[in-house]
Amino acid sequence: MLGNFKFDEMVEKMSRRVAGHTSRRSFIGKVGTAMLGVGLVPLLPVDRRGRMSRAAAATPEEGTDPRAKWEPQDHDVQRCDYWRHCSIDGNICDCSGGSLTSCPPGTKLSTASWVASCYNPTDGESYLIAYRDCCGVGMSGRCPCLVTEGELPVYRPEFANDIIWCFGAEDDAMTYHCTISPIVGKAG
Amino acid sequence: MAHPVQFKLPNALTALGGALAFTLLATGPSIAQEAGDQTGGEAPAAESAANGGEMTRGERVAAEAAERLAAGETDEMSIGEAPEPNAHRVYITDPAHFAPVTQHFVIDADAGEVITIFDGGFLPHPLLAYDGSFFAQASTVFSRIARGDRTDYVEVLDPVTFEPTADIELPEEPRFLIGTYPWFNALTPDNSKVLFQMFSPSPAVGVVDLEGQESLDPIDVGDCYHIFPVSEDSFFMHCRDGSLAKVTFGDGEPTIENTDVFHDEDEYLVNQPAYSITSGRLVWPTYTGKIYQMNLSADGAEFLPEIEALTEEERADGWAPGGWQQTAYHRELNRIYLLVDQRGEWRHKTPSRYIAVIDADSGERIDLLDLGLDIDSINLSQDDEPLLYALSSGDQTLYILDHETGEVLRSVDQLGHGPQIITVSEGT
Repeated sequence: MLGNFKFDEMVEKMSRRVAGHTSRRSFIGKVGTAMLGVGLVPLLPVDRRGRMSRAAAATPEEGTDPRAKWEPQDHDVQRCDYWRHCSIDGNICDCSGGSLTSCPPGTKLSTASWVASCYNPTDGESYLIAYRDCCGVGMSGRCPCLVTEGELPVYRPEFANDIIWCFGAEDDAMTYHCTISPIVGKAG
Repeated sequence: MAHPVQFKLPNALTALGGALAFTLLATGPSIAQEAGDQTGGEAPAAESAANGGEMTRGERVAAEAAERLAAGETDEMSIGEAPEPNAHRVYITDPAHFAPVTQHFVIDADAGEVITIFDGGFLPHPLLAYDGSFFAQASTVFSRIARGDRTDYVEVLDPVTFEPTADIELPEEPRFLIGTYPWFNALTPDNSKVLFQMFSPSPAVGVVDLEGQESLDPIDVGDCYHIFPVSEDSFFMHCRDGSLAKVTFGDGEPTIENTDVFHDEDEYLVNQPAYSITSGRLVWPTYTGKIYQMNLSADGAEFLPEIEALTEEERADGWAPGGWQQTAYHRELNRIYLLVDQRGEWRHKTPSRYIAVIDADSGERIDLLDLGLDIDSINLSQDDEPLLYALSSGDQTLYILDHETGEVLRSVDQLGHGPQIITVSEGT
């Protein structure tokens, strides 16, 4: 399929297709659910699909089975199985001077974001998380996570985890440092 | 300002080095004995005993140096050269969890030793000439380590001296920055051009002429990814709609022809297929272990019957492919090697402990090798005495295996932070 896909137009177009009932083989429609401006996030459909696997070779936490099904917990925000990290596949910023909602000092915040619906086991509710990347500083190396819930191959780039999604960061910063996990609404 | 000491530094260093070497050699046995005393006094003797009473390497080089010193000669220092590349040379790429600097390790798999190590930038893509005659990489660096002005470039290295023989800067930051997939960048079969995947502002394929050392006009390819060259001016890609696209370029406008759609949209093809540029065989598993195969050539794509790597019962028990570079293919044996294990749903990038060995024609599973190791990436040498390579990112270790039994013959550890890619040549 040879469309006229233009990456620079993607963010604008996707915002118009947030409820897209288009086939998953319609690229722009699904990109609309993958990368978006924060202001549009509450309008988005729930999606549990994963994102980039920058920590693809991350060593699993000691004593854990790397192949075991991912199960969320609600008490330790610096662990990969903290419920808000249900689609993080990178490094948790809270471990490197940031928090769940702020980038560490000296990094640049990307303008693209990825939305996932994460289940909070404490209140039994699901929330929309708009993941944002902090860029322009080398890989933090702290709290690496490889969570690929719903992660799709690269020919579905909007759901592909291995892409550096620092697009739009100040100073065109394209190196990845870590990811924050702000809540932007309730799911469902 | 104090007067500097008047002597020639190199001479002084040579003299100092010689004196130190002489002192250390002269006192070597007593120092070793002291160290041995601290550790129970067994290490040197045990090492010699383990060698059947023969001298260890450490003992031998010390004795040789002492002989030379006695003859009035000191050690000669030099920069080494690698042996000529052969079918058992392996390149391991460690992006260090997406750090701004990458390491490439060059390994002699027969000896199980590192030959040398060299650098790449941010998510460089290794490209080995199909006959092993050069190593190239498409890479990206920034003027201030992880920030500042970005430069994308293609660098070519001599495989013996590891000195660069070409350095071609790419215009306008074109590289698609993504975790390294072996067939996202490729050399044409004649090793004359680098083809590399672009993504922003739109998907395209960049072309670098290595002979002319220049970047050529990129080719718009729409929503298609991966690059499988079939001739000096044509290659195949896989498109979002589930078809292959044959792209022909060179003189005039590029042309693109799509095949029929060959897989369902809910059948997810892994990011790391295996491809033999010599035979044109493309081996492409899905997340569940169904394997699509095609013979690609400049004349077109021939689709072969699908294969299931895992039985229905195994799939029901949670068996599925998993890892980073999950798939390998040996051209002469006509065998497919696939990393598999029991895993939870959506754990397709976590390491596997088993390799399914499959006859590519019949689809018969020849073996299920139990490695007992968490392996992220596999590959094979393509000669008639193949070695099977299994890379553990977590252990930072390359295991060199008997391809029939999976027995570990040798291993090479300390390969960076999170090595992911195994690159071998196509030639023998």
